[in-house]
Amino acid sequence: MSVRQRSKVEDDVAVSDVPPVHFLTPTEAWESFDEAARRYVGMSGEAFIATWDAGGFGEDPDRPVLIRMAMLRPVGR
Amino acid sequence: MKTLIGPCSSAWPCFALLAARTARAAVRAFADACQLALSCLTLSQFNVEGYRPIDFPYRADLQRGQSVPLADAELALVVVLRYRIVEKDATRWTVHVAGYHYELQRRDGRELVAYHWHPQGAGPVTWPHIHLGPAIGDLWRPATRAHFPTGQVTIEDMVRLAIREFGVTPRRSDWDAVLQRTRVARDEPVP
Repeated sequence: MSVRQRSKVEDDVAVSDVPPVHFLTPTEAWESFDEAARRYVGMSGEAFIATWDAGGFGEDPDRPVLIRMAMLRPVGR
Repeated sequence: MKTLIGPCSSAWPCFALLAARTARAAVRAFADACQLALSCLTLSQFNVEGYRPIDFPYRADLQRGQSVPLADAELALVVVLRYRIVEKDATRWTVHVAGYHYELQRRDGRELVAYHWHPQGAGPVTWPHIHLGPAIGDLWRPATRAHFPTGQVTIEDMVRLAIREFGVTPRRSDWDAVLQRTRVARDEPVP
């Protein structure tokens, strides 16, 4: 199925050097989220989630660094 | 779990993507199109989180949400989005983009522009908008905090912006055809 879908999308454009899409494991999703939290907002992933869910990022949580983190939050966490 | 993303509605139509016979195939087709569009700029990997239909939107990202340097420009790209798997009819599945964070940065990490759409969960600004960042230069202070409204922005829009407006060297000569192809594949109008 994936091969057929790929041909439908790509038709006559070259795809030989396009990297394959990766399905993240839950561990990979969490580890990359936690690493990003530590790098970009200076806290653990768990601390980011607790602060976010408590509305602890002030009146304007719509700051790029925070939205980036919120978008990276793994499903179910 | 407090989610950023709301359900699709007629007021906020999501981007309709390829229909497929299974949810997994729909996610694969969506991700392949995103990866192909991004291949105009980078060989970094596009990741998706899941393919089982659930109530919450999944995460997708370029290089696990890291800043990806772009060729021949002092710029880096960040792509993180959320997607929802939707049963289109009894035999077809599709994927809807349900929110995004697309950002162009200077190589030193300073934000240039950030395109956002997060219908729920991050303050009152639920419409698509852009933030102007410090890398632009001196801004009137209110402008640094403003959420300038935009239409829906796609990965193809970001790739084209980088190439046409900021001089990023495309990795492939057929980049314009690729972007048209991937956008059409997602049932989106070509401007």
